[in-house]
Amino acid sequence: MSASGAFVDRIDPWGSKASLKKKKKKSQGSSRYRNAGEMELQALPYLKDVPSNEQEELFIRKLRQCCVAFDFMDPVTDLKGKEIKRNTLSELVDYITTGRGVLTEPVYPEIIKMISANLFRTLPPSENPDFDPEEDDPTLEASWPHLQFVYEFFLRFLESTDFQPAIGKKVIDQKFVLQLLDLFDSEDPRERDFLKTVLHRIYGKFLGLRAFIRKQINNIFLRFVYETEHFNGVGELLEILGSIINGFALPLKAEHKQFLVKVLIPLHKVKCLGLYHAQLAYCVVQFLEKDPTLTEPVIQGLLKYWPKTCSQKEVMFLGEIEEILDVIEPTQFVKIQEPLFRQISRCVASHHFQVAERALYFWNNEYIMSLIEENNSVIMPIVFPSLYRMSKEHWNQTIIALLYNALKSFMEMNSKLFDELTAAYKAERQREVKRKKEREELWQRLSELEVNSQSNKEQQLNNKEPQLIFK
Amino acid sequence: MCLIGEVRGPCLAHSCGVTGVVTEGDISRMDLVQPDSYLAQTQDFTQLVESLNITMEQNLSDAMLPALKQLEEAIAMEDTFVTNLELPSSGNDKNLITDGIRDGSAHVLRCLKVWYDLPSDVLFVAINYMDRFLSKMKVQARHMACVSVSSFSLAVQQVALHGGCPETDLKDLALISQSKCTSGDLQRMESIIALKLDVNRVSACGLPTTPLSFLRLYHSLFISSELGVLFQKTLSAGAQGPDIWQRLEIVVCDSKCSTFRPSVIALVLLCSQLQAGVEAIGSQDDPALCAQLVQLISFAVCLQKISQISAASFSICLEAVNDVMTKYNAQSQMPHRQRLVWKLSHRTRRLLRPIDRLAAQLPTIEEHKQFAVSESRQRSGSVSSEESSESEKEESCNQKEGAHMLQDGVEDMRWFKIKSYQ
Repeated sequence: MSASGAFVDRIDPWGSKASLKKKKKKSQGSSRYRNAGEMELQALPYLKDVPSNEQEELFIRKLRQCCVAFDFMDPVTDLKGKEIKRNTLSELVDYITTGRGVLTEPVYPEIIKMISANLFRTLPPSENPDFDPEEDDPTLEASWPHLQFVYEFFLRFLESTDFQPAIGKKVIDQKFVLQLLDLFDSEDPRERDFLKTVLHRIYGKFLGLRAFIRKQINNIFLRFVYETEHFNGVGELLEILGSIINGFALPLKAEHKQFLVKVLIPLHKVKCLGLYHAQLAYCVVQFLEKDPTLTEPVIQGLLKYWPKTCSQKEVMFLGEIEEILDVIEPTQFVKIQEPLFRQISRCVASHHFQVAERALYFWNNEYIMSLIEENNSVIMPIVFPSLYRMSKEHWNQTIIALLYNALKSFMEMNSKLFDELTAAYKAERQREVKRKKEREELWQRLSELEVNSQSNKEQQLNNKEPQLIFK
Repeated sequence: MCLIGEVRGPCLAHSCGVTGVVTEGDISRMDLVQPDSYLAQTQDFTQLVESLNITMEQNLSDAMLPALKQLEEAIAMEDTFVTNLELPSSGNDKNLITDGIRDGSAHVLRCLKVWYDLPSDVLFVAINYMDRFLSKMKVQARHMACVSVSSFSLAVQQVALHGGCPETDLKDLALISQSKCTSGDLQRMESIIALKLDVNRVSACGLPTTPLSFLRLYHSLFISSELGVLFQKTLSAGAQGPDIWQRLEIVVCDSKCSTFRPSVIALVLLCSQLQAGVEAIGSQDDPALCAQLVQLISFAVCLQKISQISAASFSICLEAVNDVMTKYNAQSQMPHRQRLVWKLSHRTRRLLRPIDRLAAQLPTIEEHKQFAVSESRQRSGSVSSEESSESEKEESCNQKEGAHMLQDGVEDMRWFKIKSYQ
């Protein structure tokens, strides 16, 4: 793109941000560097070529070899070494996938050492300080050609039929898990994706680590919500939590309920909710399917954090509400119907057409309509005034059509109540018109009074008797 | 009940009357009226009226004269506008218009009347046109919506012509009513209806006489009588929410009442509401009040005679009207619902349900059990997002070399990137 083209785009305020950026090479970052002059890697024989009694030793040697780090920021250095390591890693992946009895006890700590050496690093600061996860492309990890295999290897290791948690738990400890969790902040989505699966397996296999993992995830979320509002791995962690929540035993432990109210609900507060809303909504709905009595605190929480200035978030919230209403029990519905429909009534009257549209689309949900019908004497009076008022006021044609649908549905639901509400609304309008007129008349009289008092002052100055002239 | 022969002309005012028959027996009879079953209401009402042994003799005030004259004229004109529509309840032919379809359309018109904030006249005239057209022409069910909405716009036109409502812009009527026809279709149908019903010629004499016109006349007659205040009080006591004007709309929207004369419908509804009011007030032990209430009822009977309504037609209509009112008061779901179209903007349709965006979920981890990996692992490698084709090539190059090592059928895993809204 020519410079002049970019300049013109800059003038145009309606041009999308993407057109401003030059099509540049995918940005990559890494914090792994190797000093020049370190020892070269020597190619070792293939594992399949050595007799089985030597394989364990060779395996360990190869693992140690793979602990050597390479600098990927410079694409031309150490090509031979990088290639050797890559081949080795690839071979190792295959070895533990197909091999039987290869996971002997001495091998475990070596594996963990290799993994730690490759994965655990301080994540580089973002190249783009104003990184907007929704808009910008992420900075990818430069050493991915190697890391990818390390992750793959790790996963196969955990999932191997020969894997024994009893031995594994000696090397996969809390410190290890903590470092793993830190990596979730990686900007590279491929890495986070692997981490998600890895942590899922670790959680699944090591019952002793579960409480610790949950606690640490809590800490990450709380820090995210209340301190930094930055963490790239919220979505992935929530996905793992989704599978955990799904497996909760009934009755739910108090700890889990606390988690819902103190951590999951406040996660709705954050500005970048859009990045992980799908996963968050899934978790919330799972909780409610496990224990419907949690409906009231959930809805109250959502109403408390209801977005007041961000319409995109409001649309997301409405989508989540519909998901919740889809699984709600009628007895729970009755408890939250009033505050909820007061909010829905406000959304219907919103001037942002997407918000109004999304709220009105609830009327197309059969289950929600059946719930409304059962309780129409409570709900219709709350929502009707907004519907009726907006049918006269709204600017958007799609919304007008949806408003008609909503009003018609109400009329079919309970004609008598509908007629009462229409009459009451009209009467109220007439009263308001009357009050407005009276107010104006009062102001008129006051202004005349003022005028008269002015002339009174003049008269006083002329030593005449003051007179209050009231019209 | 003795039927007085036809009475005409201004002498009507002086020959019509009621003897205030108040005996103990009658009052106690009134107390016995049970509010529960409408059938009981019907029987007791006619019995009550019979027992009062009405004769026509009362000095009606001169104030009532003009209204009475109008009433006479309306009765005379009634036949021109009577609908007499009888529809089947169901049929094998899908194209047949049943009473349900007609009622559904009538309620759509009622909703449109509320939507456009128009007076009741529009609804009654529209339904009048619609019913008369249906009784004259064989209309297919799929054209019903067009017929009803065209009747509506024609009615708005006519009522505006006679100053009954402001000129309303109905250009979005085709869209709002979801009648599946264009404005052009509606206009064409309008002219067809106008032609068939000879609307423009008749229009010179005024709007069609509908139950509303009669109700207005009866209402004003009651008000201008010496029982006016009591009338208002009784009517509002029996109202229970929606007033009589709204109730009349409901009655006319039900095809059960489409075979009755508009005068009968109006008077029957009025009496039925009065009776409800009487039951509400009449339970008080005040003989003077009871006497007045009896007078009220007998005035109604007087009107019945002026309107030449037979006892038989009155009671049949009363049964139908009570039936409709019972359903209305029961506040239940309407049987004939409009098939509504839900059009959404592209943006909203894209992200309706947040959870739909989730790809396959991770397998569940049971709380107190160890997780066992099943045979088919769902994912392995990942490629970068759909956006950047450059790096995709990069990735696939890297992967190819190691591809034989990785599991077959690598799923493309895209991270969940929320695109900014346009």
